[in-house]
Amino acid sequence: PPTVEELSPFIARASTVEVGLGHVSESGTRLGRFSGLGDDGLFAVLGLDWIRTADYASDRPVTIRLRAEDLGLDVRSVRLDYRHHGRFGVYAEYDERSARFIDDAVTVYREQAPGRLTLPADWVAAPSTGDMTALLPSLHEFDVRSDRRSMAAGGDARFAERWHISSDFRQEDRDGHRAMAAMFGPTGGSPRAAFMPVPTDYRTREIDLAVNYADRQRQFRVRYHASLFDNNQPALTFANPYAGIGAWPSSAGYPDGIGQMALSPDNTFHQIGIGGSQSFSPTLNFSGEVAFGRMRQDDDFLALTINPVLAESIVQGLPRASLDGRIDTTAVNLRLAGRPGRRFNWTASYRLDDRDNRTPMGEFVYIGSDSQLQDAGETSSRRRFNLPHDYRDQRLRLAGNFRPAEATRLQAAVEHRRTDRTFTARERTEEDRLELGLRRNFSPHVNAAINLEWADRSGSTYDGAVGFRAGHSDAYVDTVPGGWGELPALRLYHLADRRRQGINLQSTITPDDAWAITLQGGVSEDDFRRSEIGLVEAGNEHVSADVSYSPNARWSAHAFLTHERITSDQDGFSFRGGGFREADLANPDRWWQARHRDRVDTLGLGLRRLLMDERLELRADYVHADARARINVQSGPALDTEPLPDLTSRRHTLDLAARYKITDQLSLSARWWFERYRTADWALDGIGPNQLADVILPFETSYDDRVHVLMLSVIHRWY
Amino acid sequence: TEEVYIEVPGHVANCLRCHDADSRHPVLEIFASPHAVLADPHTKFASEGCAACHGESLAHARLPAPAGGEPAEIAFMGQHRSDTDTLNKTCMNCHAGADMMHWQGSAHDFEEIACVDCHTIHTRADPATDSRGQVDNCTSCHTQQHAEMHRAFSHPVREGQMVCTDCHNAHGGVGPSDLKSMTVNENCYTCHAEKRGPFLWEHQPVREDCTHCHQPHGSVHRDLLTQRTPFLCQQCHMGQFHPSAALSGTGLPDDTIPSGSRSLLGRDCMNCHVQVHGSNHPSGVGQTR
Repeated sequence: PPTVEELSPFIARASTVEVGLGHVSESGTRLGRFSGLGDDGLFAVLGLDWIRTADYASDRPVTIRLRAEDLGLDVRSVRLDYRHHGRFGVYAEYDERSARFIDDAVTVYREQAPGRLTLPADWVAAPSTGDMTALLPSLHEFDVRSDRRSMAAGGDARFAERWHISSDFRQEDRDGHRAMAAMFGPTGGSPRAAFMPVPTDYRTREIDLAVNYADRQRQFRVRYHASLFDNNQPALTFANPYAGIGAWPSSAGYPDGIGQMALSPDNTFHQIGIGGSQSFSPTLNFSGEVAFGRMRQDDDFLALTINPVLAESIVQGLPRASLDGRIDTTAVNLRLAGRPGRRFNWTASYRLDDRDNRTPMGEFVYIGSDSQLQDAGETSSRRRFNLPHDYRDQRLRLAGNFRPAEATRLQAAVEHRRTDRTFTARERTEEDRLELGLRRNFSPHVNAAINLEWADRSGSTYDGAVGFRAGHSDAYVDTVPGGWGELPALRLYHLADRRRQGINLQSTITPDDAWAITLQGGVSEDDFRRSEIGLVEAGNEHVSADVSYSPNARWSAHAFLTHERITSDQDGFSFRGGGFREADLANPDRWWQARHRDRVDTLGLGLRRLLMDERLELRADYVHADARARINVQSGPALDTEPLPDLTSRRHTLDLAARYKITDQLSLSARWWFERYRTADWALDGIGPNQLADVILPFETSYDDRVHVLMLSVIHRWY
Repeated sequence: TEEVYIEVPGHVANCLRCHDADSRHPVLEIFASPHAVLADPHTKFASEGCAACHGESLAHARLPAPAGGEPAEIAFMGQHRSDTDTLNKTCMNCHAGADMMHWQGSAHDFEEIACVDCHTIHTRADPATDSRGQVDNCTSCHTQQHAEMHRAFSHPVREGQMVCTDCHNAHGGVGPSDLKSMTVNENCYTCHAEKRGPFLWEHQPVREDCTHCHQPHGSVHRDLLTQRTPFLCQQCHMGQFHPSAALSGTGLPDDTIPSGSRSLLGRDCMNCHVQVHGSNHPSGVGQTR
């Protein structure tokens, strides 16, 4: 046996501290969106991994570990673990995450007070942005970003031979700003909108508790989960920058016009789950989980309108002060798994996802976007009922693996899925799915597989007007020709009849222990065979190759290449309402089609190398991702269409790193990270805040980045 | 100086005569792993040593396979690798229960994936439990998802801010696609709790399944949408006037300011319908409040 001294290099746990400096060359890049490297300039490279652990033979086997990562960035994390092996463990954690979506978005609004946005004192209102002479001088910047800070603590312990408990508590605070539009006027008539900074000030608390039992034959768990969401900014009030236009009551426009938006309401979710697994014999096992939950939301309603003049028109108030929203959830997942022999295994499973929406319905005579007088007439289209949708999804699946020979495996699965819904175009959809697979090992070094998928979805009678009728008063529906809102020929793609076919091929080649090559390719097609309008076809083709080479611990290389083509075809029919409605519907020249063709190519290369007697470690990674989305819209002669430019994104990322071990205790680390990222988007490129007559935009732009990140650090290592 | 030999249980001392630091598959780091903590009563290593996982293997001890003898009774790699069921049962002898409770019959079990296909045992740090190593591990097979992570719009996996196990339980999740939560939406609400509601004015597909509109592993379209808006919206909304309009290059701006279509530029439909995930404003019928 080895001596303690001989063994020590293999069992000692080193602690490390890393100190250094980094530099980012450009702000607001795609690279910085989630990485914490969103600002240009210097940043500190700081990290710590401190570990104290008893050796394997200690009679007090305790490990304490403190890890701190990216302390110099706003994606920093610190975690402390204390574990007494075999008895208990506890942890505490602090974590920050940052997401930067738009740097320097613009707005005409000022935050006068929390939750209240106003316009500059010298604001010049007009019905169109073209006449807002103070628009451009009034703009000021804000960042669209989200910063999350979470604290968590928890632990687990064995309190008896086979019993184990665990608990986790987490609190996350999220703040930042979103860019959302303050909108006035009815959407179907003469709307006006202006983007504004919408503050996010969320707190989410989560609790997880579980009691587990496990022996060789059976395991079970009882668990409790709670998620409590609080929004400290439940509403936002904003002024109307547009002068009143003819269709609005005069008080809706500037300077009296004022609007209010309801932001995400507080909500809670509590769930109790009971799960278990039982081995009836070495070849038969049952496992299942049943969970009962309740979502609740009961924030006080805002007023139908915040505009005091428009509020005077209210003759029918709110049916209640708050939603009293409640959805009771039941989720079941049961599975029987058998392995009667080495050549055959099977599973039978049942899954239920039931959401019983107990939210009461009510009649609301709404005031559109703080820009209308209330119309509570018997046949008013503004008499609306909220629709608490129920949902019940069930899946039954049987699957089997059979090996007719040692090197051949056949696989088959059948699945039946039934989904029931309320207040939707189809009360029931049913889907049958068949999967077949064949896998063969041609040699110890080469195997190949083919998998086929076929699925067919249909259901009860499709009635696209169900939601329309349920959401309006009968008196109003009677006034609408045909009694429908959306075109009857429209089929919603998640409810429509659909036939899906797919084939996937895969081969793995391992010439020796050093090489691994995986080749994959596949095609799938969705045919929405009875959809005249809406999504009618969708497809996906992909091929990929993944190669890795790792001859020894001192060096390895890998490469991957993928090509994907994603397609979808949708058909539409442009029709106007009112007096045009009948004539338009009878006109076949108002059809249009949109053909979507997305292509994505990704190439990745990587290399790891240890040199100089393993004192120097080199790492290089390169990724090229190129995507192009083409949308081709064509129409009948009654409509006018023109081509759209392609939407593109192209990224080159090169990441080079080196670490040199000066002594056993001291290393130098260097990293150069370069990213070239360009996108093109016709909805954003060159679109200034005043480009549209009726929307003041936030001046979001495409990316055109060329960013360098350089990091140099010293790593001290000790035992 | 006098050499101090380590105290090891069972046949370990004998095993280490061959499986030392120079072995092709060095094992000594297991002494720095939780598997070899002798004082942990649940670690069978304390009582049985290597035999706890590899079997007694007496024939192998007498004459190992490379010398013309026998392999270990339970071998986890190489040409003498035991069948997957045997390997996994070895691990499950200790690791059944809690998050591993639903392993039997799970997707990876059904595909006959062995624990050691992802996990490395004789090491201080198993790459499968390290954030970067885990993503590399998963994407070596799930190449489609790997490619999607590199698309223009994705969750921050390649930035190291998320890992696969934030959403999935590779050992048999209770939800579809081995999700850790019972349903897709429950899973999404873990980080996006503000979208849970319930809301007064619901958007039915949103209430049903986030993946009706979003592609969680990555998309070429903004906000991880499955299709570019406004066309995605028009796949379900085809009412009179603007929802059914044929939107195309005619809506792009010309040289004048202002010009262009509000249904196409900026956030298109979301220029006005800002609350597509649901609104709790009593006048928020059209998701504008």
